[in-house]
Amino acid sequence: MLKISDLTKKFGAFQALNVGQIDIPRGQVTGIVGPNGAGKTTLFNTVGGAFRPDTGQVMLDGTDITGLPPHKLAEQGLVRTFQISRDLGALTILENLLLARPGQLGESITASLFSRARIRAEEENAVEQARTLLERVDLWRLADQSAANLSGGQKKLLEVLRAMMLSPKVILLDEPAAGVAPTMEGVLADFILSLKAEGVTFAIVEHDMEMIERLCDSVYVMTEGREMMHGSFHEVTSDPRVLEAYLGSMV
Amino acid sequence: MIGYLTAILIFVIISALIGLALNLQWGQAGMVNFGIFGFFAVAAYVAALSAMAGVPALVAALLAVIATVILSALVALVSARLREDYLAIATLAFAEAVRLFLLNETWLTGGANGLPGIPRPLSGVASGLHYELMFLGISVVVLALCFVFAQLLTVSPFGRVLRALREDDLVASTLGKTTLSFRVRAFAAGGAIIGAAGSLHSFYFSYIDPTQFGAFVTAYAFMAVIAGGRGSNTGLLIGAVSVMVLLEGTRFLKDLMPFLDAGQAASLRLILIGVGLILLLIYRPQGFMREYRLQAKDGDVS
Repeated sequence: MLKISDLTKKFGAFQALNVGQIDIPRGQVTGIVGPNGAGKTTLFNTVGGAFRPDTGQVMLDGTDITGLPPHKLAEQGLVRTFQISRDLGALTILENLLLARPGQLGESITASLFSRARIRAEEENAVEQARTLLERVDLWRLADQSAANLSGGQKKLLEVLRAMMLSPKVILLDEPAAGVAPTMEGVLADFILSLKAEGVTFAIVEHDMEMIERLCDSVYVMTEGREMMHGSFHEVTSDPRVLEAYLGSMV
Repeated sequence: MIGYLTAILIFVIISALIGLALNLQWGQAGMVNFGIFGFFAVAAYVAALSAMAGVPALVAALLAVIATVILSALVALVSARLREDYLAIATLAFAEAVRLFLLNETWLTGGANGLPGIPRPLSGVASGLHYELMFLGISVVVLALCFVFAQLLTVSPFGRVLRALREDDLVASTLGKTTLSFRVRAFAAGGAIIGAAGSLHSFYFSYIDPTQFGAFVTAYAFMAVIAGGRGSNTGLLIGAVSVMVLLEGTRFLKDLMPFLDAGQAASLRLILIGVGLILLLIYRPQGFMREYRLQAKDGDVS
């Protein structure tokens, strides 16, 4: 589904990213782990349009999406979430979701002035779509509250829900479990798995190994900007090189 | 007294219009426009020069609106990559460029002498106080139209994207929004309202010169938006009225306290305005009204 090849990114003289080949297969959850500074978030930033890569190629479902800006990536079906939740606190929870819906007539000034009835109908459909998503994670009861009032875990859920409004092919999740209470971690994991069951593809950067074990079909290990190995969770965690580079420090 | 009140109300309406524009640009979209007085000046001069060239008032006002819309869009476009304080400086520089142009291109603008004798619309219909009242009526209509315009944008998905951009433009673009397009359009929409404000100003005073378009215009607009509650159009109206009450009301200090000489009264007036603002910021930092939020849980979408 998502194929990353020979992707490099330098900051000054520092080679932040030097990836050979990473494949995120359709309908699976692929984990990306590695010690701090291994380039995981840089990888997401480069694939997700925040940075342009120096060289290399990113293919989404057969389409070249290398170096596209974030809003173009969203059109192509690739959405990311952020390590530190970026809720839009001036918007309600429902508005956060409605915002993400693509192709809204009401985003045009002339339509806002002269096509009120059509916008109203469109908004009602959008609210229905958002309501279905919010009800799945029991957030509909908070729909009209400011997104700033949510807990850490709920904000992470909100980011995933917001992404889902775009009906994306691939969602990049940057540390979904960071800053999330243990009980919410379970809710979040269950929700991600239920979306996977519906055919959404995920790539996840995460430090929480329980989360990785629970969610991921396969795992890439990154160190120093490159992918070191790829395998199932158990293959990866029992590999001595990985233990040395990453897990060794945890013993 | 009625004449004075009419004049004050027209001032309030003009400053409320500028405030409405700023509320769209900065209040909602988060684009700091310190140069709002420059756009206001352009509108006033375009309306004045067109009217003096014999163009009907309505067409002159339309030309002023077109001019400010185009200029606003251009300024937003060239400063596309600037945010917050940098945009503030860029817009201030634009306003300064406008001021220097008005002062120096004497052949067109009359320079420091300004433009006297701008024909007032419908001046054959009424005269004296009746004319003033009629002009007030026209101003109220213009304000109502601009308010509806701004409010329709605020409650639409367009306004929702603007608030999202203000909060976090990376999130908005990650969710597929073309940030540049929304910024340019928000700035231009604000420009349209400034165009209306500048036209009213020219027609009401029938004389304009560069000193009428100083940084104080921007300051009052920001005061009105902050007092009213950033992002709220209704709050803006209350804010604009409060600022004007504070500014004008303090003029009567001298009558209340005859023991003050003119200089002391003027200084006390400025102190009171400052104190009023500080009190507002301490006790009501969020302003009089909260900005619009969709409340749709009970199925009411509008």
